[in-house]
Amino acid sequence: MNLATERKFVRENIRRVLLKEYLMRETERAGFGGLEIQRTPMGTRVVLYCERPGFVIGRKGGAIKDLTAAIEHTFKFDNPQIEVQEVKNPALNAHIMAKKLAIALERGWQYRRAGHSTVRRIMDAGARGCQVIISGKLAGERHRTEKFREGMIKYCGDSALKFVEKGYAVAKLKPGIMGATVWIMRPDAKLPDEIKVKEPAATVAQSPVSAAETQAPATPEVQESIPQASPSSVEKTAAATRTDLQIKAEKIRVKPKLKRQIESELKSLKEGEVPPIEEDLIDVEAADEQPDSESKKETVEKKDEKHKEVN
Amino acid sequence: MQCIIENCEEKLSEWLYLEYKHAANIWHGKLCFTNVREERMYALLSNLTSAVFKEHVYELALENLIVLDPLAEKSLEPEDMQKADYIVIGGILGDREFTGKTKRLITEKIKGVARNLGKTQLSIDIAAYVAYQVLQGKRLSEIPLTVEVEIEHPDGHITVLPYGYPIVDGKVLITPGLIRYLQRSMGGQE
Repeated sequence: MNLATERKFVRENIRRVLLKEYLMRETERAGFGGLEIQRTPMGTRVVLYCERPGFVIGRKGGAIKDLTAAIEHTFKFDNPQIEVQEVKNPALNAHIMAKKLAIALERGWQYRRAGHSTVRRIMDAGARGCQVIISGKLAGERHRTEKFREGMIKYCGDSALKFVEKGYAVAKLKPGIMGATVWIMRPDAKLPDEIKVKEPAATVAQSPVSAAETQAPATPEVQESIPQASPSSVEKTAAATRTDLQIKAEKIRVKPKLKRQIESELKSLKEGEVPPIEEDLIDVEAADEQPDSESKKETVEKKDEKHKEVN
Repeated sequence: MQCIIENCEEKLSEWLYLEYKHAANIWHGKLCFTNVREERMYALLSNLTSAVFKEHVYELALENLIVLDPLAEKSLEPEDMQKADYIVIGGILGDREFTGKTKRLITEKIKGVARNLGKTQLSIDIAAYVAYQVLQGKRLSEIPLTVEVEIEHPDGHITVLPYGYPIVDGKVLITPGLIRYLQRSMGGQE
């Protein structure tokens, strides 16, 4: 980054600080609560946070038109568009609370009472922490600084930049000027060291032994269901029947008629045709008990005819 | 050698009185107050020392003076103390920064040598203490000073005093009675 670029950034920031000071002065009655400046392709978007937006807008938008003109001509911002937003909780806005504290001091409140009441109000609004600093020739004597703290406050680092808001106001008194600074740590501030461990789900929380017990009987069911569910289940069943038939033909002493049937089936299988699985042919015991049933003959004959037609 | 405190405050507040009293104890009767015009203040300061004057220090026509001015170019040395007869301290309740009040009210109106006591701002009694230590032969570098002091009160708030206080035997020497006074005061306008 060369010097010219650095100067450009410094100039830009000075311009923004001057604008902030100007708007703080101009919107004092409305309760200035912060400012955001964004460069957009259309121009400059200025978001102004106020306690009472009606004072900024004015009658028929007259006041906001004047402000827009001043921002454009005095501070040379391109096409400024002011957006006024109401501060929902003024007790959590550092600028507003600092101004309220300064007003209280100007009205003659004792600094100790004013400081404590400001801290209490901020903490009651739900802030995680706050610090109120009043400095100057308090009580018309030697200069001193009074600090009022409660809760947690981060002074430096990323957390301070993210979660801590600072506001400053000046109280003009007879002995001199008194400064009122308010630091507020937001209620939703989550520090990097604050880690929340999630509780495991109820099913996973079972002991390994019980989990094994529950899973063990489920395995065969799954295995059984695989051939039914798979797309090539027909082919697999056919292959299984072939092997079963071959084994049974070798091992079992079968009656001659049944043996012939089986051999013919095997021949047809070798030729590539998948016959329908018939329980009575496979069930050897049942075949032994009912050797020559007419229905079986018919089915075997029909099959033979079919084979011949195919051949 | 005598120490002169030129009072520059209109009213004698309790804090100012505590500092004057401490300074009078440090110099053991070799202290005098000038420019004490108010009657109540005159009566109260007369209890601390017998030498209380209504006139300014420059109206007394004294010679061989050293004025302790924070804006002076040179620092106070033990050799300076040997040559001078009087050392003048401004009785001012100061601000956080040096505002040049001593220079404006005393140094410019007096014929004498101006010396500073370092870059740290000191209270009236601590300036008298440091000057007394230099008179005893110590150099400024041999007198350790704090930058600021934090006093925590029972109600939880903290008072920060941005002044140099000397560390004597490992403890900070603060004006006697000041802490009690700060705890007691509620912070209203006096």
